[in-house]
Formats: sequence, C-alpha cells, structure tokens
Amino acid sequence: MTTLLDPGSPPVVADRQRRPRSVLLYRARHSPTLMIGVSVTLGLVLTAVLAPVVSPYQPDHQDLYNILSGFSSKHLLGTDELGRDLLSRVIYGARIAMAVAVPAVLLAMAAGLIIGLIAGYFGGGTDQVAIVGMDAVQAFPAVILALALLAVLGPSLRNVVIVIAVALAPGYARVVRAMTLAAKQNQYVEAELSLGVSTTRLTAYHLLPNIAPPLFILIAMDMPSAIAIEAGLAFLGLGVPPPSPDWGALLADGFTYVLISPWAILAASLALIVVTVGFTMLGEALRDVLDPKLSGVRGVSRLMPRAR
Amino acid sequence: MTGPPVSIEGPVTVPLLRVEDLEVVYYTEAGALPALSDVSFEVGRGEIVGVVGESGCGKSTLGAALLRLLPPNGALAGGHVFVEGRDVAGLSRGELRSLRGRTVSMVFQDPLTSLNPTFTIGQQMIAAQRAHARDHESKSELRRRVAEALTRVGIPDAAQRIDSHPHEFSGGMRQRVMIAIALLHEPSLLIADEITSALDVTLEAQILKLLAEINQTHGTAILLISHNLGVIAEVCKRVVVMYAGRTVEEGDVMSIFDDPLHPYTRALLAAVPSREQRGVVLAAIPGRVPSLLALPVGCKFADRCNHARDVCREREPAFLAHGERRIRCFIYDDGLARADRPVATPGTVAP
Amino acid sequence: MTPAQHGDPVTTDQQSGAVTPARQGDVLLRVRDVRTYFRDRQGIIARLSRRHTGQVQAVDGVSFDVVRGETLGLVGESGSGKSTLARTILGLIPATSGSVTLDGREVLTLRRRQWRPVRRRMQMIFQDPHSSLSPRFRVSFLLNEPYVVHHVPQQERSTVDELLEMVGLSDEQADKYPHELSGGQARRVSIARALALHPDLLLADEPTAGLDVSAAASILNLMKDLARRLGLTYVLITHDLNVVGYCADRIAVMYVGQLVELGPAELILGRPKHPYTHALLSCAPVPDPHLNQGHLDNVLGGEIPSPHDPPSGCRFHPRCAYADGLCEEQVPELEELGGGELVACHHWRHIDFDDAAAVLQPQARSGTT
Repeated sequence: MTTLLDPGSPPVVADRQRRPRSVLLYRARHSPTLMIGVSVTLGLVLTAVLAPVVSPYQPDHQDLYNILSGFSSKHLLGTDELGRDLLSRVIYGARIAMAVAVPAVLLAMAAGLIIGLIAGYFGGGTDQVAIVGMDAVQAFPAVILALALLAVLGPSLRNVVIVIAVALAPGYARVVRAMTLAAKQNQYVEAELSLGVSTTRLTAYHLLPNIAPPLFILIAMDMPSAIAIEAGLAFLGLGVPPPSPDWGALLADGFTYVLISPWAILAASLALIVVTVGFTMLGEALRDVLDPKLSGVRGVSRLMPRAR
Repeated sequence: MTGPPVSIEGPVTVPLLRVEDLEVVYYTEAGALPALSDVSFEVGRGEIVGVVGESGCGKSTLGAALLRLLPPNGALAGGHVFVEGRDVAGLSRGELRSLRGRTVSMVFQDPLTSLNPTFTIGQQMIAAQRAHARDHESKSELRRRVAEALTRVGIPDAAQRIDSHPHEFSGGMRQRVMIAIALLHEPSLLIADEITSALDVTLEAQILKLLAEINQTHGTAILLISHNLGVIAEVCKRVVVMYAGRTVEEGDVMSIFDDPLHPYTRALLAAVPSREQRGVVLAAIPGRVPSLLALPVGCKFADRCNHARDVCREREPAFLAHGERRIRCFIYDDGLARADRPVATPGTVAP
Repeated sequence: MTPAQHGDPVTTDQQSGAVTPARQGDVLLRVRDVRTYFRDRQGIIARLSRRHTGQVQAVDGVSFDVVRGETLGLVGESGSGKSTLARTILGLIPATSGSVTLDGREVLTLRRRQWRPVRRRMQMIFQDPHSSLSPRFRVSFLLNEPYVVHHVPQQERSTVDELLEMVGLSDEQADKYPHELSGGQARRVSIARALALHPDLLLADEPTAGLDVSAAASILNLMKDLARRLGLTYVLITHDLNVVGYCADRIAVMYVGQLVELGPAELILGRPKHPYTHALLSCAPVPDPHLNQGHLDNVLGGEIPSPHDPPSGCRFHPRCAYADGLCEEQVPELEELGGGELVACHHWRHIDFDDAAAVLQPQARSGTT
C-alpha cells in the first residue's frame, strides 16, 4: 500500500478517511474492551436464539413442590412464587429483551436518520422545526414519556417497541443532523452538485456512508437503554403483558417476595447489569476503534509501542 | 567531518543553533518512520535562515524537534541540537521550559488553533508572560508590556485590541499576535513554520516585512520554514534545502538561487511558474517524494534525478562542504573516482 | 460574432456599462452585472433587535466575457468574491441579479432540472485536491459517475483507462481510494472527472493550491496541454500571480466584489493601471533574491475590507496611496482604455508607478542556466 505518510503530521492521528483498513483491524485486535463487548453481545443473541435448547425448563413450567426455593441442583437460580424455574425465565427473558430492543433501536435509528438528514441538509426553517420537535421529546425523561404514550396506546409488544423508538429517535436525529451539517461542508459535496447529481443520489451515495459509522456506536450504546426502559415499563406493569418472562416483570415479581426469596431480583438484576455493561463496552470500544481522535493521546499511546 | 569554520584561537564562537546529524523517528502502526536523518546546519546570531523542500521532506518535524515538541510517538533518535552550545536532548523539564519561549520560540501556520478561543488576547499574553515572569510584576505593568508587544508587531490600537478575543482578529492580525507572543521574552531565535502559507500575497508580504524588521531592530535570528521559494528568496540570508528528511544543500541565498548545485534544488527552482516562462512547458520533477516507509537505499533523490548513476542507487552521498556550501550529491564528492561520478550537464535540469 | 463590441447593444442593463471587448473569436461565457448578496446570518434575538439588517455584497456588479479557447485569470485576495462569482456562474449559489449566458443561453434563470445539460458544458475544479473527491469511492467509480448522473449512453462514454491516460495517470490508479493518492494525483482525477463530459468551459478554483512546486508545475502543464488538445476554455481563479502570469491570456482583478482592472495578461502584468493591481504584483514573492532588494519597502498596508460594510466611493481608497477626496465619494466606473483594457480608477492617467515595470522584469537570472 502506498499511503504517503506525511512526517510533518504524525500519521497516527491522521484523518479518519485516510486510514488504511488494516489499521482498523489492528486496533480492533488490541482492544480488550471490544472483545468483552462483542462476547456479551454475542452471548445475549445466542441465549435468545437458543433459549429452548439451553434452558432447563419451559419458562412457564410450574414445579409446585418447589415454590420460592433457593438455588438447588434442580433449579440453579431457584424458583418463583409459582414454582417456575428462574434460570429458564431469565434465559427466555433475553428473547423478550432482544425482541423489544432490536426493533425499537432500529426504528429509532431509521426515524432519526430521516429527520436528521432532512433537517441537516435543508437547514433553515425545516431545521428549526425539527430541532424544536426533538427538544420537546427529549424534554421528558424517556421512561415518563414512554409511560404516557403507553397509557394512551395500551401495553403490547408492538406498542412498547414504538414507544421506546419515539423516546430514542431524537438522539439519532441529533447526531445525524450534526453529521450531515459537517459532511455538507466537505468540498466533494459541492463538487458532486456541480457535476449535476440529484439530492437523492448525493444523500445516498455521498452523505450517508460518511454519517453511518457513529450510528453504530450509538446503536450499541442505546441497546441497554432500550432494554432498561422496557424492563422499567414491565416493572410498572406496562411492559409486554404477562406471563412473558420479562426481566422487568421478574424484578417486579421478585420484589413482592424479596424478604422470602431474593433470588428472582438477583437473577434479573444480574442479567440487566451484564447486558448493560457489555453493550456499553462495545459502544466505547467501537468509538475508540473507529475514531482514535476521540480517545485522545492516551488512547494513541496505549495502542502504540512507545518511543524509547 | 568538515564542519563550518570555527575559530580555533581565542574564545570559540558558539553558533546560536547548531544541528548535527539529527535523527528523528516516528513510531507508527505501520512501523518506525525515519522522518529525519543526518540533518546538519547552523543558524548564527541575528541570521535569517530558510528551510525549503516539498511537503513530506521533514521541514515541520525539524522545527518541532529543535524544541523537543514532537508528538508522543516521535523521538530524537540520534545526533544533537545545540542551542547556545547546550544540547537540547539533555535538558531537564525546567530548563526546556525556559529554553522554549525565552531563548527559542515558535510560530505555526495556523494561528487560530494556537490561540485559546475563550480568552482574550491580553489574558493569553499575560499568562504567557507569567510563565517566565522575572519578578513579581504588577498586572498593569504586564498589560503595558503586552500592549507594547502588540504595537511592535504592527497591531493598530493595541491598547484597545488587547481585550479582544482571537476570533475578532483577521487571519493576518492573528499571525501578528502569534509573533507578538513569540517575541514577548525577546528570544534569540524565532522558528517560523509556514507562517504565511495561509495568507494572501499582500498579507504575506506584510508579515515578511515584519519579520525582516524584527530581525533588524532586535537582532532576532529567524529560522523560516516554507515551501515557497519566493518567500525564502525575499527575506533569508542563507538557505537549507531538505529532501526526504535530509539536508541536501545549504548555502548563501544568492548563490543557491543563482547557481543551484544539487539536482533537487535546481529542479525545484525550475518548476516555479512565472511570467517569463509563458508558452514554455514547466520542468516538473518526475515522480514524487518517496514514502518514509519505503525509502530507497542510496541517494533518496536518485529515482527522480536525471543525473543518477549506479553509485547513487548503491549508497547515500554524505553532506559535504563544497566551497562555501554543503551539498549531498556525488557530483560534488571529490572522494569518488571521477569516472564513477555522475556529471552535471549544464542545461539539462536548469530552466 | 464580430470582435468589436464597443457600444454594442448588449448593454441593455443600465449602469453595467462595462463591456469586455472580445478581441477575437466568439464569446463563450458572458457575465453581465452579476450580483450575489447574502443575508447576514443572525440568531432570532439579533433579528428581533434589528441591530444589523445587513447584506453581504459578495459579488457586486461584475461583467466580463470569456472568449472560446482563452484562459481568463481571475485574481484577488481572499474575500474579493472571486470564488463566490465562480459558484454563482455555475448556479451553486443563487445570484441576486444579473445575467450569465453560456453560448448565448441564459443560465441564471434556469430551474434545477434544466441545469443538468448546462452542467455538462461547464465544469468546475474545486480548491482542495483531496477533499473535493468523495472519500469512500474508488477512482474508477468517481470517473464513471458523471456518465451515470447524466445518463450518457454506453457508446459515448470514455473508459476509465482513457480518462486516466488523458490526465497522465496509469490505470493502476483506478482501484485506489482518494486518500491513497498524492495531492497531484487527486488533482488529476478531479480534472479527469470534470473532462469526462467534454465540457467547453472549465472553472478552476486555485488548481495548484495545496500542491508542491513540482506537482503544481505538472498540473499547469497538463492544463495547458488539455486546453490545446481539447480546445478548452478556462476561468482560472487564483491568488497566485505567478500562476496567472504563466498561463492566463487575459487577467481580471477583483477587489471586494467588483472588477477593478481587466485586460490582456501582458498589459496587466507589464503596465498595471490600477493601484491595487500594482500593489498585488509588487507583493508577489519571486524566487529570485536579486529582485527582492527593497521589495518589501512598499508593501500594501491594511487588509481587504469586509463585503459586509464596504468603503464608500472607490472600495480601494482606504488602502490606496493615491486616493483623494474624489475617491472617497465617487465610485469609479470601469473605463475602457483601448487594447481591450478596462480599469476602474479615477486617477489612473496621473499615476506613475515609476519603476513598476521593473518589479517583474527578469534580470540576472540568465546566469542560472
């Protein structure tokens, strides 16, 4: 590869666009955070997909001889008040978490992408309307907003997804808008326009690819938010309707019997914590790998053999 | 080593800046890059010396290396930088601090990124003064000195402008502010790294005039780094030509521009477009500066040089004295058998 | 079209007066009294308080012709409005008023879709060699894009290799991304892209900016060569007077949105009439230390004023050594001097830049060769 490295400016902090692909791989391979993040994410996906295989019981199988039991060889995490195996419920809970979080985040991203592109590209009045709209949505705490909307729409899996998407969309719209504004400043946008390309082609071919990378980071960071909002709604009884083994519902049920058996709370909390930390690490690692500038000189020196 | 003439009798005159076989390496993901190697030159007191070369020749690295301002992955890997006879590599943090600013100061191409946008020019200049405050001077005293410094670099109404923020100054004025800051402690040497490159010809001329005036009235020596041969010709007394991280020719500005000896220097001069060359095909140098990742073995310019012989590709010529000048080229290497030497055929490279 | 246009009926626009005499050949691009004003960018509070209700007059009544096959150099400091003018001509920035005709066809009134066929005939090369290429596509994609965008039938397209060859690049470059190219190579790709549609007119905004001396030289050689081979017409926008001196046939000098002098390159460079042109020329650094003796003594002071609030009368008067009360009050008209030269200065007849001609005169360089 004949990348001309200009010694005047150190190549490490070179422009994002000027980075050979191999450097990305190098950074990825040397980032333990990324490894942990990827493992947890993969673990969650596998657990959700393989739930029937890996879980010892059906989530609604009732072992009425063992109600609210602690851990035993039969029930590794104990049982709930109906004698259902908690481990199985946590495992099946991963399915619900994914079933809500993935479509909700994708929907939020799609909506944010459209709003952000339009606002950033056209600017002016359109932009101001979009900004005010986003501010209005973001003025409410996500859970409160979701609660209010759910109260109107009624709880169901579909509505939970929609509600979470609404709460998360402004974040995407903001990032996309800012990125569009920045990308528009690039001279190639003017060059393409002077060539005669249409707005659609300009957006699809020349703006989107440059906006996309930070969105991956945002997706990773938003997955735990979506799961947490969903669990919060379920905890309040507005989530996916029972008897689905939802983590939030597990927490709520466990809360009732916390003095008799804390296992349910422990199991569901642990699941939430691991998933949240995992996704956050994935997001942060992605950020470092995709954009070393954000991680500062510290990040550079960590990845670089030091001089002398 | 045929160094520059040093008087043996009496007190040895120590040049203000003396760079000897300087080597700088950048450690990168792609490997260690030899950004500078075998760089040698001197700057005498009160002298204006220009450093020229294409981008990627190590000009800016050189400026940063002189003050040990290299980025974290860069390191001085060999050679010496003597400022007033003291080796910069051996200085402690405190000594380095007093060296930067007091003895040697630096101005960069982009003044906007060198100034803090949230503070006024006055605040920043007072802070810069405090960093080296001699004794406890009152604030009004410091302000007065700042205003004086701004007036000195030709900023009108300095006493009022002192409370303006950087964005309230135009590009040319910001560059003047940077020069004023650099001159606060009356350094002996000012390193100016492409300071006029972002400016229009008129502002460029104004800044160059200012540099010439500073040099004359305060005797400040200036190391002017520029890719623009016109700029160098305008104010410098001596020139150092760099190529691929090496010094290739050094000498008096008149003789270098009148009679460039190194094929690279000749080619550079020949490539400048001018009115006199209308209708003539410009003599562009074929190829490009070699990547630091894949430097050729012998002379780094051999691949682009139309005098290159076998010897040029086998080993690298040394930086040798040739009359009043120093040149890194086998054409002028008397230690080499005449038959092996490439010959400068007059008229083949020159415009 | 006949060469002489003195008193031609073209000047229906009032007070645009300035008609550029096209010496020979036909006029490809005609620019008449073009104005490009921007509204000041202000926040809501500032707008409500109405403290500034300003306009930025980036281009303020510029008229000139570009003759087929010539190279017109457009020079001036940054802030003179030369880049805005180019973008206005190309329809990238809406003009406030005026007329631009390409081969006799008005383009400023065109709607978005109608621009397309015009764009095929008029292309622009933008300043930064790297950032004017979309970063995520290979050279081959970028070179094909003009054809895709304009739905050019397959048999009328040049191949990527042909385009690369035309600008002196090898076919290996086709698979590279812009960041893998050197500045000079990226510049060549931009040129190839602009030429893919066989335009008549190429506007080049600082084509040598950001390039090393040598790369710049080879780009200029290429541009000259292409002009000869393809019969191209250039509008060359630059602040580098060496570049203009080397390749422009005629030179137009702009100052704060207006033309101050226009004429054949030889005349403008040899005997400038306008004090601003003279000042620009004497500031230009020349790589010859002999010529620079005392060169910096009469450097043009001050800075170019903001087009937001241009000076009264002659816009150059605050910086002009020859200005008097008249210059302060009255705007000088562009005056025809014959020989295709136009100048907007009240006093050009009486100004003698004594050794002005000596400034760019070659001397003592003969020993170099």
